[in-house]
Amino acid sequence: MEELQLHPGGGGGGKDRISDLPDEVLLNVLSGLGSTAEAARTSALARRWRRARPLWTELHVLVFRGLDPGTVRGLLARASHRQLARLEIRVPGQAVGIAAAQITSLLRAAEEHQPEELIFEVGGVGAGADDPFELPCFARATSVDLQIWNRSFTLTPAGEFSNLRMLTLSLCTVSPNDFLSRCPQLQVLHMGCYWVFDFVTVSSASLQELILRADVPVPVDDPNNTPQQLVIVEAPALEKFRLQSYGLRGVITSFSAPMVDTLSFTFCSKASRCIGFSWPWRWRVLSLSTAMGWVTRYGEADAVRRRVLSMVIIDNDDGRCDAVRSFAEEIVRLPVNNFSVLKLELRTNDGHAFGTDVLQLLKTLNTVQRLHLVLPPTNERGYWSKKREIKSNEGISLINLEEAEIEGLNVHDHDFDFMKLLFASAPVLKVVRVTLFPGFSQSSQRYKQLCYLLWAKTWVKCFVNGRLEAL
Amino acid sequence: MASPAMVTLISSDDARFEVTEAAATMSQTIRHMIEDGCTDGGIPLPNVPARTLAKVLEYCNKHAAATAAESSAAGGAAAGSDSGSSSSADSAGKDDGVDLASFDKAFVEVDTDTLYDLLLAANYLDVKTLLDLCCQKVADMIRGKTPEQIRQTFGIKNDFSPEEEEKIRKENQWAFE
Repeated sequence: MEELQLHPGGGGGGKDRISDLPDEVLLNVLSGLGSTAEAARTSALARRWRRARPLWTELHVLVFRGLDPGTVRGLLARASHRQLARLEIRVPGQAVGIAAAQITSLLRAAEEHQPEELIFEVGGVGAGADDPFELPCFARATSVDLQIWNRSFTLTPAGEFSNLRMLTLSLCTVSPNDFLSRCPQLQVLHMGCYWVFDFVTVSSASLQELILRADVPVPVDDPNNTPQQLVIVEAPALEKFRLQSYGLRGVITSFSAPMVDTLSFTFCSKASRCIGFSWPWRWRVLSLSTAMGWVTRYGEADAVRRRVLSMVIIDNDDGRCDAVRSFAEEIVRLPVNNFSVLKLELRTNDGHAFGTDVLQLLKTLNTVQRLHLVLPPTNERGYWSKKREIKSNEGISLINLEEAEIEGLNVHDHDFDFMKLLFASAPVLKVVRVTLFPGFSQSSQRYKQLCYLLWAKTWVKCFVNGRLEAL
Repeated sequence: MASPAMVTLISSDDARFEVTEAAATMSQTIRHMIEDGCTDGGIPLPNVPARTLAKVLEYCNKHAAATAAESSAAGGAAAGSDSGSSSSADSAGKDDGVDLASFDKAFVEVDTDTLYDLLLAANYLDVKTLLDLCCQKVADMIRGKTPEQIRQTFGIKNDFSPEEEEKIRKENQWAFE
């Protein structure tokens, strides 16, 4: 603005050239405002901007925010563009709630403009949430985003979302099977509303990416007697799956998706995922993901694509955790296998021993080429094992393991045991990288012991805190 | 490599500009003229003065060169069977993107008269990305202002009577809330 006043052609008494621009250029300018209300305000500037038909009614992108459904319907009736590029309607919540019939008629009005992209949000708690609204089939839409609080919908009896590629549903309570058969081209489905169902089937021949989120935790009366939720995915073309859960209910997924290669699970709920057998303690999976990643092997210049499994687990002293599976069972459930890289991060609240479970996991994933273990930031001595020592022959054989990275090693007795086990069970090990527990003194006796242990394995390159340790 | 095909453009005030065909054909209007074979002795552009044409061509040269660099980078990555090289091509493409975005931003930092000239020229020459860029710049200058502030910014004369203005405000009450 300051700049404009420096130039004589600009503000103030300068000649009005903007009003002389052709209509299509002015429309392009108004489109750039990103708000139909702001575009409509320009009709108050001068006669040129008002005309018989306000310019905004010809826009191919319409954005209505903060208006009540009746007003938006009236404005849509004035809008003349019959094939909108984008239509965004955000209706705020009202104290009395918005009736399903109002949502239905607003959606019908929206459908008349055949938007390519539709964003439709209704805020607030619905009145009579059991009463479903009707969703017309937006035949031209390639992308639809519905955010409607705690409502279900039905589809019109006939019609298809024949061009729909991406669908985002937040907060609506509807089962994917109610609409997936009417979306023959759907590639991406984001659902933030499956949470109220005990089980959900997602079945689609075209789907490539599926994201399931629980947007809000739904309270349950008795977590011990609430069954786990079951998500069944039947999608032959699916490549990417992501699940994020909250609340007090566990979630089990089952896949029939041969193409899937990127998976991510995030469990933010207390009792979501319990695995491990270190009774009376349980481990809870905070996150688990798999993906193909670029990995450079030690001594080689070129990176290669390898399947990576990453897990973050935490100990769980919560008695509510009944459904227990072993690590092995958890891994077998995944629709992908052949992991080359394992990244395992251990966290602990109470210093529970994790040795048995970690070793069990290594038995399951005994073909990994690279292991990255992040130990819990605790000074607790017995975090590997409370009682027994780890024997070097735990029946583990890591036949392909070439590189191991251990973060946060505290160099207690069991740390030595684990390092010895690693060397004994990995015949082709080439590189070991150790990062010591913060504050661990490199002048201590235990550090010397560690060095002697590493030096003895002359065929393995050992790095401690990034420095090559050699005799 | 063969030297690129060149065309001559003639502004309304008879200045001649020699540019690559790739840059010139960013204008759909010029593209159609070339396709129709009307290029002998230069292409006359009677609606565009030299000062504005020079500026439009600065934009077209920059964008045509970026497009060429992008496609050759993509071709290089596709030709090399080693997938390890793709990451370097990706990052080069990204740098170009950042570079172009900052070029565009600086390009429309001009006085309003120049901006109108560019708008009219981009509209006449049909250079869609330049037209969109200039329209977005004007939109950014309008956004968040009251009608009176917009009038002041662009020198628009309010030719409504107070009664008319009140009526329009009422009609568009939804937009002023």
